Amino acid sequence: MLKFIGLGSITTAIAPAVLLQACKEAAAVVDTYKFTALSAGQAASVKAIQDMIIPRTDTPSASDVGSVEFLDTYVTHAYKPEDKARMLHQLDRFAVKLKEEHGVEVANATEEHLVAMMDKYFANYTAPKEKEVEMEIEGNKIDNPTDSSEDKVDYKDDTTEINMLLSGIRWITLESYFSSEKVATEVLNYLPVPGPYIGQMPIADLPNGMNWSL
Amino acid sequence: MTLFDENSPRKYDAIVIGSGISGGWAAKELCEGGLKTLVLERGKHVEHGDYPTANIDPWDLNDDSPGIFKIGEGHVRVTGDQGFNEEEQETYKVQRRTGWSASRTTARHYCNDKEHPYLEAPGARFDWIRGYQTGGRSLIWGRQSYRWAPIDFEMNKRQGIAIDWPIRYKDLEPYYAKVEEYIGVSGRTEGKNDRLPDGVFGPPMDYTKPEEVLKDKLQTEYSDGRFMTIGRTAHLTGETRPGRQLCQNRNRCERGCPFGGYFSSNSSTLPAADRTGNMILRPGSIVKTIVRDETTGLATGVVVIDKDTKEEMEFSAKVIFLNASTAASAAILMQSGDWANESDQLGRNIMDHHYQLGARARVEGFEGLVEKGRRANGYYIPQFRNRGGSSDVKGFIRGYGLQGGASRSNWMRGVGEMAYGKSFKEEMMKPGGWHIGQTAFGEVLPHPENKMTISGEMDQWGLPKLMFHTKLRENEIEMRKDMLQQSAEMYERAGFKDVETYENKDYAIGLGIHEMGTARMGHDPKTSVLDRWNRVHAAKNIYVTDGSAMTSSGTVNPSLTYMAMTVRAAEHALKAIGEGAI
Repeated sequence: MLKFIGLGSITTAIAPAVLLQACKEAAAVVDTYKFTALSAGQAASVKAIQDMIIPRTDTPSASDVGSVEFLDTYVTHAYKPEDKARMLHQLDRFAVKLKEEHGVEVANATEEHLVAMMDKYFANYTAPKEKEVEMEIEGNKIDNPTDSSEDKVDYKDDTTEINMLLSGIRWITLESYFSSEKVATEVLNYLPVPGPYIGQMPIADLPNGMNWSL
Repeated sequence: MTLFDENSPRKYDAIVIGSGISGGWAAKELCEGGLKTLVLERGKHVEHGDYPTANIDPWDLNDDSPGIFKIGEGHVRVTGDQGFNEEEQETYKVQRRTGWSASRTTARHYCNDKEHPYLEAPGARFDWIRGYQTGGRSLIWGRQSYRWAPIDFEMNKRQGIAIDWPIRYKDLEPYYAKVEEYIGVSGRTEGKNDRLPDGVFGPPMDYTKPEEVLKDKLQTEYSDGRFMTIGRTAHLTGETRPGRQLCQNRNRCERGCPFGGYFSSNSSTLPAADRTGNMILRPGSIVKTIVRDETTGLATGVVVIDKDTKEEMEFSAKVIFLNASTAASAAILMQSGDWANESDQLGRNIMDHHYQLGARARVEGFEGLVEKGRRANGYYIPQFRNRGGSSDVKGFIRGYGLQGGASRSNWMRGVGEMAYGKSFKEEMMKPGGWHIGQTAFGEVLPHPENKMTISGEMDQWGLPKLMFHTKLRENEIEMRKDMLQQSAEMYERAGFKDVETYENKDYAIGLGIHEMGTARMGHDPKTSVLDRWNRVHAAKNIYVTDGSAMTSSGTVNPSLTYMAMTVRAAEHALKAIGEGAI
């Protein structure tokens, strides 16, 4: 869990004044987080996708634990320039296709719209035959103005690119979610210093049936 | 620990070059024997307990750990290669070749490849994974601790490979016991001393259920004597030791263990040496040469270059223990003149254990069982090929052991699934199915052309960069086919599902981090560098007791043997000094 969101682990032993101060600071950091790779529109697409993969239930969603900011920082620091350009292109195409196919902006998309996108480009996706790919690439070259500015990257057709985007975001979403403090310490079973090792413990002894977080 | 300062003497009874797993033992034994001892370490100082990443969780702040990035007041983590930016990847270019070493939390215990470059001959590759700090690689070692079998010392002679070992199992046996007792080795007594001699053990760690299944199947499915035991590992499981607590099963060993749960020079031997009042440790000390008196044929001291100031200084001593690690110890001898190399074997016969291949499978059932704790250990199947009788095979000589383990998968299994949404999320929060995997570790034969030389290129200290000329040869390549086939067959016979083999075809000598053999022991100064007491033939007060002394490589993890050799050699040196012989 990103520290600035993870207040759940603060115990009641902490004086209320301190807690209040901590809340203020945490809120300030959330507000002041400056995206360094994603535009506001691209961040909205990331949030929509990540919260489809891990939605909010009685436990937090992906974006609740800072997955969008995680991805932004990750792309900023660890992606090669061409990989970063590709992801941003893919996010843009995701928004374009959402609009084309469902007539909505990302911010106004309903769960139904997003399920349709996830099913089409991810869960039910099958790689197209070579000929179809060529045709769609040809089409993109005419229609897509961002292509000329990213001429170093050899983009494939939109369907393939969006599938790559969703497949790629999947692991970064899981990674940031399950390595967040909130999920690791409050949802899963957190055991930093196990003490004696037990090789064959009955699963019934695992609190709530939740896995170990570390 | 007592560190060198400007008031420290230049003259000692003993100098130990290197503070790693064997150097630490040399320091302890010599200091406890009453010798004023200078321990030289080329890297930075790491005091036991000074392990800043030891307790960090994935979400914790730590600016010193490559791959952890800051967001506002919080932190995020990223894993694997992608967590390292390009500069960090370059800094640990070789150190990270294993795929698991020099991670974001352990990189501080690996050397900086940019600062410490070396060369590979055209077409050759050598993976030189190093730990430049007090304690050396004892901070990051695999901790698996096995005795050699008696037969391992005899095979060179029987098969006419290289030269005969000048020692036998019985020569090391009491020292194995002494080391095991002191460092604490968790393990199970098996009563199969011809294959894998038992030692002095603390309580064994548990098996997981699928491991037990495999263990039982090996008994019923094979008649060649193969068997499994739980990994014999240098973790405290029974009784504590001075300054060390029991292993807490955190599996964060390579970050340095604040509990001292596993053995390292830092947690154990160096503090013991320090307690005698006889040790002075000098970090940042790069040894340039060992100085030898031509008339007496004895070493008189060492020339050291300060890592930071690059100032040269000389220290003298009656006895020198060279424990700089295989390649570095040979390099120091090479830089010191020709006197150690009458045999022309210095720097040759580099061996390792070739590995990173084996099998993995899914295990059905046992969903009612989970592990508690993160066991930093697995199971071990000792060498079962070419041990005589029905175990002998054609195609290759010597053999290999297998190290493996079974555990339940976690959320990472979701990375490959085409699912999303509520039920996917809930599923990922529960333990996944059981998986099992094993890796083979094979013997590499000594070959004179697997060698290192000193090149004409200099490093920033004006010392020659080493050049390595190493490659796998026919026997190892043949053996690898059997390693794959047998790994998979055992899993099939155990009834595991979706059995598949894997192999890192890029394995290169050194990647096993068991490099050894550059100054082999032998009877004859014309064919070996060291005598049966680990002394340089041409300088009887220089003892070399790290991996360079090895005449063959065996199949088990080698550190326990280096430690036992060191204790034996130190006892010999103390006796020689007591008698006035050196």
